[in-house]
Amino acid sequence: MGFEKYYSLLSLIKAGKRQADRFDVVTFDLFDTLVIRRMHDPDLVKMPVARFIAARSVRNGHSISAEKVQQLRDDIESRHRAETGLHFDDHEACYPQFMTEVLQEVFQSSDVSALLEEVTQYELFMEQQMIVPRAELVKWLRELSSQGKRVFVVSDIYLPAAHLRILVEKAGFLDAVEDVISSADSFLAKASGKAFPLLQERYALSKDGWLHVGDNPISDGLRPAEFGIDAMVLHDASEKRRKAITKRYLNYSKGLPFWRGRALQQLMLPYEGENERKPDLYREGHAFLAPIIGGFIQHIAEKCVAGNITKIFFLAREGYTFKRFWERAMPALYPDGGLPEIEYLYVSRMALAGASCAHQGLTKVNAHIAFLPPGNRDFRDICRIYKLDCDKFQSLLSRYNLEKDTCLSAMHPGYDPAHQMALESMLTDCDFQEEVKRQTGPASEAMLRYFEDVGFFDHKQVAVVDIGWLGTIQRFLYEAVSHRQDCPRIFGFLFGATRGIPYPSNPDNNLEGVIYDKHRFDLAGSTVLYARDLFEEACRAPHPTLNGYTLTPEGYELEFRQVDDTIGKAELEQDEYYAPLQQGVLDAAERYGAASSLLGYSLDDYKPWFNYLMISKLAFPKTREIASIRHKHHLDDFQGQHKVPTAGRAARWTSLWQYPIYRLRFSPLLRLRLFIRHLHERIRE
Amino acid sequence: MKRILNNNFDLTGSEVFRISRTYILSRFIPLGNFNSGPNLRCLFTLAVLHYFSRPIFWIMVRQEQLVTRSYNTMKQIVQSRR
Repeated sequence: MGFEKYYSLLSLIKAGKRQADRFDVVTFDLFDTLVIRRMHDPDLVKMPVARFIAARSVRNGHSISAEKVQQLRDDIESRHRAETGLHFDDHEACYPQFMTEVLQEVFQSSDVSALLEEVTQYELFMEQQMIVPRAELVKWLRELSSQGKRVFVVSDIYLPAAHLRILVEKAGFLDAVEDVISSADSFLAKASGKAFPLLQERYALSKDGWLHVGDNPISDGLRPAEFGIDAMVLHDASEKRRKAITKRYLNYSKGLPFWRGRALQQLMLPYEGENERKPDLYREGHAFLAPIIGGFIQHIAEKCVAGNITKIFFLAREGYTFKRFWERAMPALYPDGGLPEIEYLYVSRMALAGASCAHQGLTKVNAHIAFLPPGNRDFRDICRIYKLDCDKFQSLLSRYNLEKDTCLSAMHPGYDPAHQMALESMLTDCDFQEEVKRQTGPASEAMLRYFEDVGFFDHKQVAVVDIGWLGTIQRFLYEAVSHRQDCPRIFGFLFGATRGIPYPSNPDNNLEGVIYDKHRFDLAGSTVLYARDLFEEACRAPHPTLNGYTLTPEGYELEFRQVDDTIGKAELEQDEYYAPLQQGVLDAAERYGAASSLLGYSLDDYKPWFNYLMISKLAFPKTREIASIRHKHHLDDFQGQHKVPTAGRAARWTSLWQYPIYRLRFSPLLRLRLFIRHLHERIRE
Repeated sequence: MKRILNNNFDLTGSEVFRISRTYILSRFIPLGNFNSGPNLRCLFTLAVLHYFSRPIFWIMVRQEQLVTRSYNTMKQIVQSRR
């Protein structure tokens, strides 16, 4: 009997299959053999657990830092190992035993069983997130099992077999193994070779026809060979290389903040069987958008916890993806709970615009907002946006020498400042404002009933989360509810705040751009302006936009835009096109939570890397990347149907992402020229 | 259709060479705040690990004792010079 070393997984499996007939029993090592860990050092998983215990200790009034918890755990575990060494050959420790002692020490209490259960669940959850089954080896294990061979999983680790079974089940092959054995239960480990006689006795195994497979030349090679069974040792060069790379990223990230985001991504990456060929859109969602959205969501969570914000409303429709990301990422980041409630709120600029006028009337600023999109031109566009009946204003318009089609936008020919002055005079007319309030009253009432239903007024402080850009949804929302006594303080978090029109911030209603905010000079962040539609499409919910709120005898109804017209169909087509991108984002969400929790970093740490990502993917993208991810159709009901005269091609292509493929490919220094133009524009702002 | 993690354990679409190119460009025109930046030595090490280390690890796993001995000797020399 002896053992053979194999330098790749495939050569080991090939040799194993060749000899399989000789064996009736196969025992597999678990870690670094059947499963690998995403990180190079298994101890890294202990730090988030220490943070969890530290957070819980603060809540229970026994404040202790995560570092001290970690030190305590190490000390107690070492002591347990030394004590075990007095009676056994192996210096093993058992997780429930030493962790109970750690918790007793931290919380100064003898009854910590409930807490131990929570801590254990979180540690196992983090382990589950970090382990990846080796697809080829698991496939062979399943083959052996189906051939009627007895298959066992044996591990030298502090986690007892009951915990290992949970990990093996998560890895997806518990049904193919007869039992899972851990050294933590018996303190008889493979390292001393004592585990093998134990197995022989417990399961009545014969040394003949017994093969052991593992990665440690001593525990999995020499010891079984000494015991008299065959062994195969995996000495995988590729796996060593992967770990060396991961180790560099994690170590560099400690000293160089630039690498923190890259280290995060290294831990989020799919390995082994997870790493399948995927469409370009999926890859961009997973490797480009997901980390940035993750940083955005994590920042909101931190702000809400620190600011005692008790409910977050993710605003339709981009909030849909943010909310789903939150649901997947937060269990790893906040195992201790303490997070605000979350809710998806059906709103839109069009739906809230009318409701915002029910109590304050149509303000000068809101009338001005209607003319920000170049497609809007006259009073009919104001009526369309604020849900007003244009014909009912005929006499008022005549009073101010205006017509329904009088040009009121400076972007269109025929504009006369005198008409703008006349409009502003009309806005001060009480008759006009009374008519506006009368017409928008029912929609406002329906909206308030909906908001009451979702508990908007049940909290003192709420957050609203949206993609961007001007903050008009939040502006209209606040104006529609601010008259109520129970109106909560509203904290707005936008992915990007372009602030094309000044936002009226006050202590009860403020707004922050997280990834980009025009109020902060952030050159890399400003590249989101290159492809705003991309972020909207990537996050958009798969339901049509909300047109408004309708008052009904029973309460209210949400009125969605039709989907059977040309625009509706185009939008459906667009949703299908972007489905892989959104799937990539959501698939990465859980991994973001686990990876970020393991690293213990936040958005500020990741920002240098996100800046690089945005610069390279938005301002200096490859032509192939633009071709595969830029949008085809983008619906904006706020925008009217009027055409603005443009001057030549230059006016048509205002952003790199609008240029035709041949220009992107062959125009010399196009990206650099456009970036310098972008740079000038930002400085001029 | 490509894999997110390429055969060299690098991130498809944000490979270490692309990072290097962007970093070099950032030395000439302001691209934004990269904080510390990636550091040339780190970039070099990562480029070697990602793209040229396959034969190194091939030898390393086969001659582990020799490699470990050589590494320790080198480490001692470097430390003694400090």
